[in-house]
Amino acid sequence: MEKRVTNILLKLSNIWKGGLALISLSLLFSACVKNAPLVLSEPKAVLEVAIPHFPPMPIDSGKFITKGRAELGEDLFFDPLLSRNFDISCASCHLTNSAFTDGLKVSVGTEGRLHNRNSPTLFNVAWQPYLFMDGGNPSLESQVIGPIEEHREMDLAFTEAIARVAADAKYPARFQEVFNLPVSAYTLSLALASYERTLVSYRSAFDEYYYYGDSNALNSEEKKGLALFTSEALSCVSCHQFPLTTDFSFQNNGLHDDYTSDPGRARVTNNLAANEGQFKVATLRNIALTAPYMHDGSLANLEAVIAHYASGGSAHPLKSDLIRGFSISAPDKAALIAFLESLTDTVSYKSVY
Amino acid sequence: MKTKFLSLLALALMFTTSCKEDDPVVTDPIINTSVAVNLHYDFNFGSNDFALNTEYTLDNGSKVRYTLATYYLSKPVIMDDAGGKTALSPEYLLIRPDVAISNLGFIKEGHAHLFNISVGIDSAANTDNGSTGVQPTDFLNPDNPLSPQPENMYWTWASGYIFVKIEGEVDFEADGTYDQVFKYHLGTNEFRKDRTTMVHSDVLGGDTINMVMTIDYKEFLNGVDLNTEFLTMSMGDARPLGIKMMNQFDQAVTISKLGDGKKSN
Repeated sequence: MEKRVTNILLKLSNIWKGGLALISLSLLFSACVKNAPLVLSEPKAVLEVAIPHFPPMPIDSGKFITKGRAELGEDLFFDPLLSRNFDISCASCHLTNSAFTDGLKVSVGTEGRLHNRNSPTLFNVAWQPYLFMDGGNPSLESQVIGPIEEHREMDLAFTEAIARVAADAKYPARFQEVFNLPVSAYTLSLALASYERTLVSYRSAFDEYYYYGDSNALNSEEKKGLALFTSEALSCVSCHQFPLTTDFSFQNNGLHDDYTSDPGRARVTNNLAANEGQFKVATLRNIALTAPYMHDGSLANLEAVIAHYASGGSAHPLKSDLIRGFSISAPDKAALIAFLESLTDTVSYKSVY
Repeated sequence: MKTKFLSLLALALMFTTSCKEDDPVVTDPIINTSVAVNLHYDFNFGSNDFALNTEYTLDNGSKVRYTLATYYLSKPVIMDDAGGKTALSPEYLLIRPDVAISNLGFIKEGHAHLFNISVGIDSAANTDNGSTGVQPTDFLNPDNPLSPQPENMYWTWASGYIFVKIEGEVDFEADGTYDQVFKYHLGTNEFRKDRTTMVHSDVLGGDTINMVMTIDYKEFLNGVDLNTEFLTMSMGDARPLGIKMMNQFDQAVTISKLGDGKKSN
């Protein structure tokens, strides 16, 4: 476990050395010392992730990432202690080898209970201005309560989760070591959020080509796909804006006529007339690894996704004006898929996990 | 010259007398000008005392028992008749049926005109529609009423506090078998109920203002068809029922002044 986080930090430091990103790792008590040697073994050193082609990572004061916090959060992320029946962990629905999704149409919680939504990737969640597909939660920290308490997921009262962690043989001492504080709602959620903030995906072949001038990073088919992706006819980039490949807006993409089973954003706003069937635009980074697609996992593969958008979708009155259908040849569809596959990260996690 | 001499003499005498260390120090007696404010709770089911997991009979013969009845109160205030407000503390209270009294701090003596308190959480603290605000994970202290609670008084998926959370079961035929669970999880900013009660008392230091909040959990279900109106999370299609049940709760609550608040001698 420790090795995994260490690898992430080392990987980030390598990128820093390569000039592609600036990772500033400063000791808590010598934060002003520039060009100080990186001390990756220091558990309380502050890790600041600054990727040149990304917006700054938004982090509230005091919620900075440290190696110790991320390691502790990672251990909790993989620990079934946080589920009612000790049978699943966060990682059960967010598998590392599936870009932190689970490959299922909808996720399966404790006792085999079926969720009604597809597991989203956790990559780049640090940049999400609100969490969940309907944007119902404002912070990574309080979001933590959601899957732990949700009866179709881990189904454990958060107060009980805190009590379990506090009674565990290993965790209390680690919380003291990392936070100098006991296990609490604040520290437990911050540990998990800190780990999630280290799940950064930013160095795909597309990034090498588009941001760092490597003209060979994409082949001709992928470049053709990129041109299609950004074309006015397809309008993909209108919502899947670079570099995060999402503008975080809520859109009804015409997937269904009837959203009774999941009204999306309207569940939060209580305004069906304005928000029915709207879901947060998903990131496309690592999209090739996160099938099936859409909020309910109803589209099995990228071919089906493109076919959906080409069809123009349903006639739902709130369907986005951008979903208007288009004609696409088989070679162009293959090129578009090739481009989407080029969004697969090749650095930040494959060699780590 | 004589005048000048006398002035100097007087000054010298003043210095001399003021430097005496064994002069008795005269201080004003400590006057207590603080008036305590308490909020008592009286939970009933009709004419019976109310408790969780206790069976009660509705007017139609059905049996009910409540398994959960927790709610938030916030921002208690005493207002004088000039419009001045004294905020009481704590700002937020989580009330369960086993709570008998909340000490709400003190006000200064004078005229206490109105007592105001909200059922629910004020919109400044309560998150709504996923916007930022107070989160249960903000708190290190588990005793803070806004921190995570065993009965889960916060919706992470809609990011807001559940103002009133009531659950129970109904045995329609009173045959000893509970047929239906009811769950009313009531919240979002629109649901907050501000309650103002006349106090109209001139209070002196040492007095206590005792307010009492009475809740009749029979009245809460009065006019509710438990065959159909048994579940709401205040969202979506069940929002109208949520609004109805929040009004039911509001109607089941009575706040009044208890006694004259004068200290007993």
